[in-house]
Amino acid sequence: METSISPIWKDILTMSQNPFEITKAVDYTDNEIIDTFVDYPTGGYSTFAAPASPVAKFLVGGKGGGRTHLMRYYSYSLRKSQLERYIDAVKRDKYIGVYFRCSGLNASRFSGKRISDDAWTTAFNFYMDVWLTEYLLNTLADMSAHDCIWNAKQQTAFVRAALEPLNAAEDVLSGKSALSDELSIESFRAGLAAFRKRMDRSINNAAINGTLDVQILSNPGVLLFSTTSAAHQELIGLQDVLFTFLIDEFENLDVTQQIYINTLIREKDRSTSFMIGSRQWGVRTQKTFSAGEENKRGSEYEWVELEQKYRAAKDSYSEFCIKLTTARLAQAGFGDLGPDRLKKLFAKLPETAGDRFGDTAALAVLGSAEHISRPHLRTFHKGILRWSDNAALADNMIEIVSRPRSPISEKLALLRIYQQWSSSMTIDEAAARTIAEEVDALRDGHGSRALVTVLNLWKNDIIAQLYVENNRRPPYIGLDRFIDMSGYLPRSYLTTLKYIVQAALVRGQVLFSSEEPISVDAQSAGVLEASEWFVRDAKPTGRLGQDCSLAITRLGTLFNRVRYSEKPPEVGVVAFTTDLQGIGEEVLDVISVCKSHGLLIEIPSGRKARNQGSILRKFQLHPMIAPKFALPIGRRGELKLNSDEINAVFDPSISEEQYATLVRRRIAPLTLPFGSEPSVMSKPSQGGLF
Amino acid sequence: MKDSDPLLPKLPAPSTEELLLSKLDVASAQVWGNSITRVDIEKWLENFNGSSPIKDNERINALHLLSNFNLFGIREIRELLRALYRDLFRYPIVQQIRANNNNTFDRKVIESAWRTELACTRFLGMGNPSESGAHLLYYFRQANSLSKRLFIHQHEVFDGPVGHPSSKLSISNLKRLIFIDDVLGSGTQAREYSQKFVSQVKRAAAEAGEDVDVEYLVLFAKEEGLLEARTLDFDRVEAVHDIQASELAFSPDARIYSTPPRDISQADGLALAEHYGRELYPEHPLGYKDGQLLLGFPHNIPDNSLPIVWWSGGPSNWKPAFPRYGKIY
Repeated sequence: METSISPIWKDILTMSQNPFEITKAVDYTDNEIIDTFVDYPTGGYSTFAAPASPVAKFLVGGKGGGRTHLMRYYSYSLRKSQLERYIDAVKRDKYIGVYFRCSGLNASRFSGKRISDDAWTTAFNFYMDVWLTEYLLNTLADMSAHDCIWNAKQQTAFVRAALEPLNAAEDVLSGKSALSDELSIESFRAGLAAFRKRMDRSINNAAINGTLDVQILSNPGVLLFSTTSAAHQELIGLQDVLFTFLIDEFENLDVTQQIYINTLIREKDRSTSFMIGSRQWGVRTQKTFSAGEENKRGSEYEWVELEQKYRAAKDSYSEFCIKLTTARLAQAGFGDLGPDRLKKLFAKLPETAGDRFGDTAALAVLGSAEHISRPHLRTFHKGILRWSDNAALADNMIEIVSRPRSPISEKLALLRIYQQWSSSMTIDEAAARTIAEEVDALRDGHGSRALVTVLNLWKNDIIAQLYVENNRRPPYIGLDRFIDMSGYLPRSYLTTLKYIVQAALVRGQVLFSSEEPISVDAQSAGVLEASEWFVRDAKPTGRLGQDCSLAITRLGTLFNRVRYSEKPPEVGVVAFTTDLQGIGEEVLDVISVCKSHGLLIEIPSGRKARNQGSILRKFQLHPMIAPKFALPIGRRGELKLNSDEINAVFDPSISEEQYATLVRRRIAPLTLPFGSEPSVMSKPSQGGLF
Repeated sequence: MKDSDPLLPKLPAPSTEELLLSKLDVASAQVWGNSITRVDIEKWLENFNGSSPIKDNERINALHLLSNFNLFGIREIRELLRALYRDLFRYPIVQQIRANNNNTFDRKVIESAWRTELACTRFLGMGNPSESGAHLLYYFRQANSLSKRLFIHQHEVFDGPVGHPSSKLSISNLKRLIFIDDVLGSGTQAREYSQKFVSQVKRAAAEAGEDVDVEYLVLFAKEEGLLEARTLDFDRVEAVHDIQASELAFSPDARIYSTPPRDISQADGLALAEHYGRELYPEHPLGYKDGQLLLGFPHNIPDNSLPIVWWSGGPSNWKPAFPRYGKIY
């Protein structure tokens, strides 16, 4: 090849410079977990998820709520090195956090292979006892080796006490003969690990051998609780310390396997506690093996929904997100940026003094084209012609609303005219002139209170329409908006920033420099990318995922067509209400899965249907999905959908044609000429402006 | 925007240019380590001043070519070098060892013989030590955990000056010399080094009554390059990836034009590349010896690739998308 060597033109060995590249806590090292951890404002996480609490907790929520980050932060392996002696860190915290993820268990192997379900359940229960105890012993062995605090006598007493209820199990589990004078935490740990490996081998070979050759040495929980109890009694320094098992990704366990954990929660003694991390839908049962009893919320466990906690105090959540951002930036070497400075690093739309309508930005969108050819004016003109075939009328009306320097005035006047046209089924020049004058007065600072309200309500929709009519996507900008968009899922917020930074990098922008804020274009492009990611990431796998994806596309499209119609019925429609009457099971399933996977959010304050008394349920499209369909982030208006419409959106067996018919029917009254008949003012067609 | 189709949301349909830029964004962020930004691309696009026959369509046709450019990163190169070592070098020798030992599966026998064979092998970069073949050796050694002793400079092969009739092979028990390179394009360089160097190795080996295999192993090779090199003094010429005609930018069945985006055509792409290529590199407007490659590496871009991508400077002060560093002889 005819090439020569020269300096590498850019250091492509260097991977991303994006401080938000990692958005999943499982991908972080222990040190990175510490560096990027931000405690929740106003009291911290410990106010609702204290690891040193003896009451078991289910920490549940959507994907990316911060459970894994929090639970890893609580774990012994991160806490221990904060003080010189590990035991001192543990005594200070008053708990030892034993963290593990259920995905590491490969729990699906405990089934099938021509082995009975009962045998698998028994094997799984004892395997889990061994597994959890091994994790605990790893922790104790680490502490023992580092601090050298427990002598041989104490360790021997600990091992004997731990194994005492297991009847002659010492040989098997302790790694030494029962007659041996000295037993140690390390020998116990090694013996148990070897025993667990033998179990693994047998479980993994069950399909080939046709048998499940495992030794069950005790009832569920006995080994674990005897070990925690023995540690309490025999190991100096642990008397007031709680052993908190931080069990993450609980959704990876099937019902029977979850019953085992529930049983531990029910049977636990005062030396032990549990914190279970799970997706909301992943907690399948509260049953136990304890005579069929069920654990009760408030008695055996507490139920903590992180998003609900975040939602309860929006300001705290915003503060939390900003701290997350500054922590990441500080870690990436961008220094300590305060919230005000941080917000200024994201560009705003152009504005000029006294521009209360936002016309500066609107004019920039419209560009230099002749004002008369603005799409909203052309649509108006065409609409009148279609309705009346009266070009003179159409021209007059354009003249009435036309404001070359204030496209927002034009749009606001048109909205009012359309609202009037739709209700009166006719168009009136005098009324249109009055509306246009009222809008002028408002722009000049002395408009009616009613029109001020109309503008405040509709401004975002009007601006969004202006963008879309001019073949551009509406912008999504500003840190506050990204926080709102996340729907109280911190990972969604960080992912949005990740894509924004990526978009800024490919646009050659200097990152986080006050001289060059991240452009509107890069912010909007990143938001759109994040929106697409959210749908891909949140939907379930398999057929159900496809059904949810189709439903969300249909729902988003319906909302979009309503928002970008000439006369939307309500402001900012991103939600629907339904009484769910006459809806089949399969459709209800799709709605339910969309909700459990965070694609839809159910708004708790459902209201009674008018004149019916049945409760309407209200669902909002997740705000992360809104940009994909150019919808608003915040929820204001809602559509009431009847059973046919619910089916058309959520029933995957409904054809595209049936769905299209529904959308056409739904948006016809919102689209020019609003179903109105031609006016008596109709005149023969004549030349006009367009 | 499809206003009338209720199945679609009312949204602006991205333009072909926007789609291609987005594709390049992804490539840059995910594969090229953010090495090319939209600012760089815009500067490159400014080269196309509307003087070609396709005028208004220049930008999108240029973007289409760039979005199909394969810029391999260091990670990919390491993987390719592992494949080269494993598939083109080690496996054939192991096969031979097994054949010589009654098709044995005995790992000890195979491993022992393999070590012997490896010890009798030396790896060299194709061309001058400052060229890319030699540059690759560093990564080749790392990727395959090889000893430094197995790598030599060309002058270390002989005890005297290369080309001097009295120069003898200076490495005892030498059984094979392996030349490594990234791209075998037209075969011109292979011919030059075959005449200058390989023939001397063969001569010296024959005089010493020894049999030294000289092999030329490359990551990528064009068919004509392979054919040319195989006519030379090399005992074996192989590539990890044979570049097919369909991988060339303007072959009749070029993949990049099998389903082109809206308003993109091969005829327009060719008109563009030829027009500006002729201004930049008149003898070879589509790359050295009509290379038509869309291929590059972090250390350099082969001159067989389209000059509109890599050319720097010249009469029109051309700004490259990915600069190539030309040789100064």
